[in-house]
Amino acid sequence: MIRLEHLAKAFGAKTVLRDLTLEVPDGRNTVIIGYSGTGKSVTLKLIVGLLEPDVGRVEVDGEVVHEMDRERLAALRGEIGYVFQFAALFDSMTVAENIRLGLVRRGHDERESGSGRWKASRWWSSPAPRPSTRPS
Amino acid sequence: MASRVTARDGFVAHVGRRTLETGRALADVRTWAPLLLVQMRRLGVDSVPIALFIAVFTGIVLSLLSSYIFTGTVPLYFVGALVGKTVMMELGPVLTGMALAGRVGASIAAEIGTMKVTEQVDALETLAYDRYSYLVVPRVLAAALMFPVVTAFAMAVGVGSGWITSINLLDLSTTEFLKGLKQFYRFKDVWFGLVKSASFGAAVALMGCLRGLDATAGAEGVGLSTTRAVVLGCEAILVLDAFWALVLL
Repeated sequence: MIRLEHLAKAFGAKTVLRDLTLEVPDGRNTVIIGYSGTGKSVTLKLIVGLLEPDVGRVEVDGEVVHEMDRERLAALRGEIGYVFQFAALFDSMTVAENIRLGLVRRGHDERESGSGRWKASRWWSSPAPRPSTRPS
Repeated sequence: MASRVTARDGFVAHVGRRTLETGRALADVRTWAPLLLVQMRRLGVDSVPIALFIAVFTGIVLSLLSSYIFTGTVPLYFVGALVGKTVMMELGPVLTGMALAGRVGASIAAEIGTMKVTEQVDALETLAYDRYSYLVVPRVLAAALMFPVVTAFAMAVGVGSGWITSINLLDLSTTEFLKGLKQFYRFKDVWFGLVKSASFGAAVALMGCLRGLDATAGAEGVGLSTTRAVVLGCEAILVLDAFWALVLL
């Protein structure tokens, strides 16, 4: 369960979120639609703790995100799959290293991450990128 | 929450909090340790050519300048003393630090700033990597370790070029130059310069990282952060230079 209560967030003079309240129950697909600059990405970043709200609370499974300690926040992020708008690929790394980075962090074997998992991920891309190339 | 840095913090408080975060991140050895060697090569080894270039001309100018000052007043072999002392204790660390503030500080700020504005830093966080452990600590440690190494090379080359200039352009022999060099030499001259240099490296890298992490607004923002990183790095060197002179001399 994700619960947003009376969230407000501003960047300088620009108010992006004003009194946002939203509840996302378990097992439901929720879509946030809006024009550019209306706070969709900001809302998602508040949920995973990349931003702190100026006002209000963000709760995930009963825990307030911006009150979590570092370890608990890392565990939360491990449970959330986050895809950035412009991919946010690490362009100083190869494709294989990009895939491996998060998997190794979660304790997967480095060799398995470098080859097996990459092969499993190829289905999503056609033509598939070579693991030794860098993101373009 | 991971960081309590807020937009309302003044500059000193801002740098102070982020420095504390960096100190805290030192404990996350499994994250930064694998990255340290690569950073040492990039920040240190690759900086040797520019440092040596500066050292060569520093030695040349110092020997000519000291000859101009000493001629007719004190024996000319004092050129060796002045070149040695000045290169080891001051110009070697400071000029090397300034040059590397431009090279190292700018490259760090540009790299991390670009990562910031393209959300790669946020992506690291979502993969449970702490930005300070992954980005800041390896660079700061690498610079703190490698700046003294680069400075040591610069010291040797600076004194060497001063010697070559003295024997070729001044009325000075190698024996006389070495006499002056050893006259007032103390081992403290060397470690004083190297200790300063290590602090310069840490400060330059830290300023580059912090400016990079604060980059905003695309390419223009990255450019501004890079410029600011170089300026702050140079300012930090001057402040630390005075600090160490007060504390250690």
